[in-house]
Amino acid sequence: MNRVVAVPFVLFLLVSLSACASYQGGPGFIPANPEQIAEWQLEGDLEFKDKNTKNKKIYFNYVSIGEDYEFQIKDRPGGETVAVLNGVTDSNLLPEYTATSDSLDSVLPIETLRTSLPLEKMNYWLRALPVSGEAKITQKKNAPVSNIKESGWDIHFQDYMVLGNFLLPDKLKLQKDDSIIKMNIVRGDTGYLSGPCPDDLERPKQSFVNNAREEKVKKYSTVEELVPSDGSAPPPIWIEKTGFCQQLYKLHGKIPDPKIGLFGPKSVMWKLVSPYSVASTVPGPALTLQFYHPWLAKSVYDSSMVHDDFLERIQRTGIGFGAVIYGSMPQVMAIAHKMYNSHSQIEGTLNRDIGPYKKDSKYRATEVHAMLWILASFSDALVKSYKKYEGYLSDEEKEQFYEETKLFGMLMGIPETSFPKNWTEFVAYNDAMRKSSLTTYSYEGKALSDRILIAPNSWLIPAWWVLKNLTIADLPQEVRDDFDLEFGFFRRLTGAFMAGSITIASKIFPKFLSYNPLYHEANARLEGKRANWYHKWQIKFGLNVDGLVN
Amino acid sequence: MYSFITRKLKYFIILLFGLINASTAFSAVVPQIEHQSKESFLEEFFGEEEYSWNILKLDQELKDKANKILTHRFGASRIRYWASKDKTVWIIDELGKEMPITMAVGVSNNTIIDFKILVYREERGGEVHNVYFRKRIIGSKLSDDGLSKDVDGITGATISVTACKRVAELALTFHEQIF
Repeated sequence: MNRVVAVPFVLFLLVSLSACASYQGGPGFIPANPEQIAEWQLEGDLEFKDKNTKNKKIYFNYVSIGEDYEFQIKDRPGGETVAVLNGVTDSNLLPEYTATSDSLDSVLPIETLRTSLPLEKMNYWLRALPVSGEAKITQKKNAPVSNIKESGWDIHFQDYMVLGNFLLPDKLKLQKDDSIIKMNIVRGDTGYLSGPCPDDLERPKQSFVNNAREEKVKKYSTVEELVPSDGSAPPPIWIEKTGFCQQLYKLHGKIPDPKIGLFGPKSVMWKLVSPYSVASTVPGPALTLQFYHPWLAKSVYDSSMVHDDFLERIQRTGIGFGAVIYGSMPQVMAIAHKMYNSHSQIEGTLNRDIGPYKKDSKYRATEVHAMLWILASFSDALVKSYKKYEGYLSDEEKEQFYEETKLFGMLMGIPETSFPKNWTEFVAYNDAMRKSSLTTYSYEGKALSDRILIAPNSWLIPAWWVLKNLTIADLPQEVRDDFDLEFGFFRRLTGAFMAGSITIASKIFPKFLSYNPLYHEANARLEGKRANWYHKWQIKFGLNVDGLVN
Repeated sequence: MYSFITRKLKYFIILLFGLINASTAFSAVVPQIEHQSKESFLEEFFGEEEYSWNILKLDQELKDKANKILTHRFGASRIRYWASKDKTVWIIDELGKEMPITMAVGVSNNTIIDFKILVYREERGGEVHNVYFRKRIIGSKLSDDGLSKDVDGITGATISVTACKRVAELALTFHEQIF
């Protein structure tokens, strides 16, 4: 072998072996039981053929809530609904229907669909489940179901996809006599269709959701209330499950199109987060600022798996933020519950005085002021990063971004009355917090800030070196000083050089390459398509999930 | 020309190898542990006995009972189970802290005779899989307060323990409907 090839090859082999040593492997995805999904929807296309009809294709959305189903026919992938067939699972009655347009007639008459499609059984078949005990199931050991024979239908499950915690068929062929139905499922949601807290046995009353009295008395918090000038800590406000759900109900009513999600393509949030230049440089300063809050630092230090599996902790955070920003409303609600359930377990007692927080006082992750600081540090880092790498933000955009930030906060259970009045006040709150004793050095914060600046494995050393330089450069001076993060000439120089390179790269490359893959996956969802292989690979590579927001 | 193609091919193989290996850079342990597969549990539980699956449909009364036991809405309108002459197996998912825990409960004569965690997906609390804990559930019957046996908690696994107790009670309730 030529030496020019041999030397780099051997070096590469050595680095690869070190990467293999850091690879921890895992058992992979183990799906939960699809029988227990209370409400779900699947979106895709269907090709129908019988002796009178030749390969006619329609686009659909199949929605199931309990035993009720709704088969919405779309004019194009992810498009407008032109007809709806609805009924009850395993009923002998034909589905009822309404058509809002006659455009379907030229493709497939609705009567044909109504009488020929086994919609009343699809509630189970689309989850690869039998409808009754009479079904014959073919399934290899430890493999998903490959065939169900039931009610004269022969259903072949040709491929499966991961959807939430479940493995559901994404390619089916149903056959009965002369009728052949081929279905391709593109995407779906596995919960939170009928409301944001569907597991609640008692739904909140309207007066509970729209607490007009509360809103009349107080609409927002002042900086003085949030950061008392006497140096004391504001009295804690715990976020309980009912308050959390109350905020979700308010949000649920505010979003006109659940498929778009909390923000959508016209939002400033998407504009800010989507460029790689911003998405990759925000987590460093945002997390370090969070650890500057002693409660948060203590919570993460004591409760998180950050010590055992730092990379997974980062990925989980990325998944949480990514799903909230880019997900459909059901996906947003699912992740909100996951985050709340996780955060609500984090509580403890301080073992010493830290700033104004006294020894033996209680701390909890689900506290309004702590959550507000998470939001503030994220928003602050986001706007600064965007300005640095991408460009100008108008005052109107900042104000819109603040309104969107509040939606994010409500999703964490923060009441609207706890937010500062506007963007200017929010910035003032942020500054006041950083300069106050509410944020300060703690050894937990220092340990965590050091930890996030160390590469999790040998493969990531170069990338982490870049991120470390940029993170330190983007932090406020007082945080750098308190956490003893050296910012000398060499770091300033390399930081400036890297920032310049990132800005240029962001300007040169097209969106396809310079925007993060979740942005592309979310856009694919809105178009009723799947994300392309490249962006799917990036999501798998970065977040270790097969897909997040499609 | 041939050597040019060979050289390019070598670079391509190196690049491909690099990309495959680079994929490991972000790979982390997914905290999903499959202690036992459903099939393996069924084989172990029923042994030589003949068994088959069937479906239990939940009427409103049973749904209400299930909701009460779980303290939240039970998602399914029916549930599949596996049964021999006098035994049933219920495979039920219940939410832990963030993720569902898949449990298998074997019941005979209105008594739990086997209980296993099939899949545990949470970061913490996996101790519920240990024999000493499962033994606390095995032998339980339904009582007015839930399970007849006192099932002590495990420090750091409170949510998982609660999930296990609820599922055990739910399986006994379902079993009562069959026999």
